Amino acid sequence: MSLFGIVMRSLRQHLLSTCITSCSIALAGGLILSVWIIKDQANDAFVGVHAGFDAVLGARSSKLQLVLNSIFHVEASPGNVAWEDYLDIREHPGITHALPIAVGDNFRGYRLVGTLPELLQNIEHHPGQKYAVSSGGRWMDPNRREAVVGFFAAQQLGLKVGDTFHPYHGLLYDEEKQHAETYVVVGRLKPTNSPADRVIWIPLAGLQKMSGHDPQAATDISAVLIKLKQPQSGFRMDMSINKQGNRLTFAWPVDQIMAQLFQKIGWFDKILAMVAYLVAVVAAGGILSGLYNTMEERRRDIAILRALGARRRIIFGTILLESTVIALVGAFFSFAIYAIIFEGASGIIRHQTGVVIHPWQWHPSMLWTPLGMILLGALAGCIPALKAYQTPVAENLTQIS
Amino acid sequence: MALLEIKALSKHFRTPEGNLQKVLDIDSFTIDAEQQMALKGQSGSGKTTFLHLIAGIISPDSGTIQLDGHPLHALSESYRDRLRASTIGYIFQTFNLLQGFTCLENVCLGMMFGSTLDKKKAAALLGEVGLGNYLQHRPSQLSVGQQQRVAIARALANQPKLVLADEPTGNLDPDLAQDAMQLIRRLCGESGAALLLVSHDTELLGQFEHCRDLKDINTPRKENGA
Repeated sequence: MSLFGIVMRSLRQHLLSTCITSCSIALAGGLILSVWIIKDQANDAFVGVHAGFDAVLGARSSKLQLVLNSIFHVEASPGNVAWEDYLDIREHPGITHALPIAVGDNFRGYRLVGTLPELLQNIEHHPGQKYAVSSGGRWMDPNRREAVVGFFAAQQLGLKVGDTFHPYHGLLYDEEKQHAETYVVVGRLKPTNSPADRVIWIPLAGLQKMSGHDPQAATDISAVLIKLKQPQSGFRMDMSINKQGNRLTFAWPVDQIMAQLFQKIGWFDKILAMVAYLVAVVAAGGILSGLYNTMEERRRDIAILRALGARRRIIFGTILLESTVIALVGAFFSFAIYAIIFEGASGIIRHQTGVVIHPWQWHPSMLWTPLGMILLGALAGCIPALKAYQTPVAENLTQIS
Repeated sequence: MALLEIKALSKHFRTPEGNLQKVLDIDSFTIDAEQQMALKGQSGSGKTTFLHLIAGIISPDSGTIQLDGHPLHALSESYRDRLRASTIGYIFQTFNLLQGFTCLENVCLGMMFGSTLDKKKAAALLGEVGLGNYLQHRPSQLSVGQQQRVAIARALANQPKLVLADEPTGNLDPDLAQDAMQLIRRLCGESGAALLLVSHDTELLGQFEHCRDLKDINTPRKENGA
């Protein structure tokens, strides 16, 4: 029997209250962890995604829409770019790569992106990492109706090498709008943990000339993905295309445009964080009220311990330790709550954008959240502990002479 | 030398009407080491207050209490707690066992704050009071007589120099009361602890060589005042 033994026995005696309070601490801790880690990881992941390109050239529109459409493969295309504009930009001396993409069709909700095979064969989607097809596959022939399917899309659609499919018109799946053309899957991309994973890549000409598309726009493209030789080229092109021109938009630099998006929606993070903190305060209040309410029924036990020689500070410490243990258990299980929330959130993010975030990648909140919850629990235990500390002994030993 | 020596001890309580009422006014009282003394006292005579003062649970308004050479009346509450944990064993009429703990744990609690915790010794004590097979039982699983025996074992667990027993047989039927009394006296005698037992049961009190009546030593006068 030790002080800790007394605490554990008390917690067992009030098991239901202990469990409920620990669960509320776990929920609060899990929410705080989720808000901070998902926010920061999503921020880093999205800002870090550029698919190997520095800029996007597209129809006159917002830079953010261009980046979301061309790099993240979400949002509608803001309009078309004439083939001549592509040829012009390709010859720009400040450019290393300029690769066209065309969008406008899907297969069961997964976007078809028409491009040149060079995009998949020559570009590093992350520094030092090029696209690769799984064994048994190959790159598409630009002159055939062939497709290379991103890892996540292939997984979700159950497509494998040799399968055939009919594309559907538009970016949203509508089974009434099936195109007549049949495409053959010739390759399946190895996972890149980037938006490319949820795209079905086909030859540029295939998308441009798909049946039902406007023949007059058959040479138009949706955007040009650009890799610059040096940043200064970006300044000059930004000046000439965005400030002096009025037909096209040059979205550069890609990562800063995404960072601006996160800055704009920063208020939402703050609301989420506030909700999480509020839950933490409510949970701490739960510890306080739970323990405080038991103090009345434990007055006699406390008086007995005092009569046996327990000093007031031992009684105070026992109650404080009890609240700390409740918070400790809650803090431990907050990682389970966090894992559940993260699993759901990362699945949605991956499904919607192809971006993968990792739950157990180190983040400072993995340390300060449990520590904060334990500290909060200990603080919440101070008031019941003070009540226990002040419990009069003689009056509560019940015997009357 | 006296183990317990009390001089000019007084204790007041405030009545619900706001008056100060003197409940104890004891000129002199002593117990020697290993002495067994019975104190006769009716309900409301202040005997529990007297025992609480000796145990240091409450402090006197005036007077001195010397316990085992320590001036209990002058010590801080914390020091009194430590002295109680190491020097005194307390047996209550209502046993005051912790219901959430086993018999063994209850006895261990008697050691925890004053001496070294020794589970084997606690189990041996329970064996001595005839509860060797009930170590893991909760108080609620025991009869009233068995519960009192656990309380007796707990009071002796810290090898006290003085055992205070407040109506220890008040909740027991006559046969059990006799057994409990003999057990307390035997164990105190074997361990060398002095015993101060208060009761209003004249038959039990008559078994003590040293017996005093609280009304003879306590002469409180009612006082008015703020």
